[in-house]
Amino acid sequence: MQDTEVLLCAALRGENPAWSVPGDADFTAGFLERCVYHGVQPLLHYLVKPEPAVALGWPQAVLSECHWQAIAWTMWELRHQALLKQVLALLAGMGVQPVLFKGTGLAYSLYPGPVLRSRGDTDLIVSLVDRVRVTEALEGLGFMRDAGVSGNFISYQATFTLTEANGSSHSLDLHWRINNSQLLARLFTYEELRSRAQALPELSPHAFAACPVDALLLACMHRSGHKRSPYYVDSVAHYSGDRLIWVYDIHLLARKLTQDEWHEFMGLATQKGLRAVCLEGLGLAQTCFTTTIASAVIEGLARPGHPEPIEQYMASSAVRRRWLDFCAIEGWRGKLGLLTENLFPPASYMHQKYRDDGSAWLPWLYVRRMKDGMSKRLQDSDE
Amino acid sequence: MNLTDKVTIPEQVMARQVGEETVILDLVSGTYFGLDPVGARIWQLLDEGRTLAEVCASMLVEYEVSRDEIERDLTDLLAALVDKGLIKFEPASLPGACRT
Repeated sequence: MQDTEVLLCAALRGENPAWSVPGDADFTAGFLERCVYHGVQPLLHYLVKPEPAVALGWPQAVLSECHWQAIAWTMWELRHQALLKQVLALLAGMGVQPVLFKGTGLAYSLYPGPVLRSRGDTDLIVSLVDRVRVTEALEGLGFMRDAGVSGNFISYQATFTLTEANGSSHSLDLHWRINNSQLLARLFTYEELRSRAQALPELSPHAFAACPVDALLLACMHRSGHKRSPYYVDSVAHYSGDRLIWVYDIHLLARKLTQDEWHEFMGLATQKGLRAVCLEGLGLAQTCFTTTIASAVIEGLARPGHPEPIEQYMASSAVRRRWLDFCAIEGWRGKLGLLTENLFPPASYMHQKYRDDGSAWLPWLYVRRMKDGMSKRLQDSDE
Repeated sequence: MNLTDKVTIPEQVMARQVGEETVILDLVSGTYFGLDPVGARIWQLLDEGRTLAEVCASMLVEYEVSRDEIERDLTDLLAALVDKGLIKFEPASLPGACRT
């Protein structure tokens, strides 16, 4: 762990650590940069009290930046909350009950205030049969569907963004399956998550979030997935599962689980082949935040057994993951569909993606896509 | 501005606790205004729909300050909030100002 992360973790553990390198402007700048990457500025502002921090040598620049970021995130949260209330009320009126998961679900169920869980959007999952109705409802509210590949197999989610008059934008990631990967998508269905979901009255009378057990499984799976799939901070792609806000989610969820819920967690982790992924996530929470986890849980997750396909998938190269996804899809019809959608996405997507290309001739754009894809995969294989 | 006036808070203006500070945020313009604990208490009373005279009266009871001081602080705070578009005045016909 880098010095910046050591200091950040100590501060997030509420230990009031002294600033480690007084007077080092580069360290200060690096620390602030890492705070942005880890998504912890509002949380840091909440946990690091200004007066003791100054006495412990924390630079004013750090405290001030976290303060301003906390205000900016508060502003975003208030707007986002108002929009979510509107969306959830509309969907409830249509008889649709989405389940919030990841950032927003955790922000309103786990943190002392939702603003402390910084995030770029809200993830919600609906039943496959409601997908079209929900899409139309969001578009009716002024949300625009972002350009992205679409089809029956290639993607199980779509991003909808609403841009306000003042230029600020809010995005919703609408899922009808939990993940775009064929292998991961089958781990949780909407119906399963909804059956155990918990109400979020702090957000809206119509809001439901994944229950703590499902949320912990998903949090471990999510961070692990980002070791191989990019996470963007300020348009820069990062491939890592080490973002502290994700680990902090795991830390808070682990603290919240009752004994019965731990029992349920172990059962589901085993049943879904997520033991290794959960062991890694919980281990990271212990390392970063000294999270207390019963030894029986750790031993149970670490128990020798057959290699889990999910762990192997998470550790595989992009080419191998594509292959595993291809193998996971049932029936030749499905396999052919996935292949076709991968190779020949809709024309609207191609024109949007390659709008800088001088040629608008669709066959040429498909050739370019294949060329780019192969080069990307080869680079990924070399890593 | 008169202490018999009532203040209205536009719908898009909200107060939130951010760390140890209470901040007033205008969600449309993006304007931000920080309040100390006394300012936060004044805001709370205004948000409850009290007239300025009623705010004054409450502050005189809750804090050990003179009426002059309260009136001056209140006037300064309200002028700053009006200037930033965070409140609006609604003239009222209540007689007197800080009557306890």
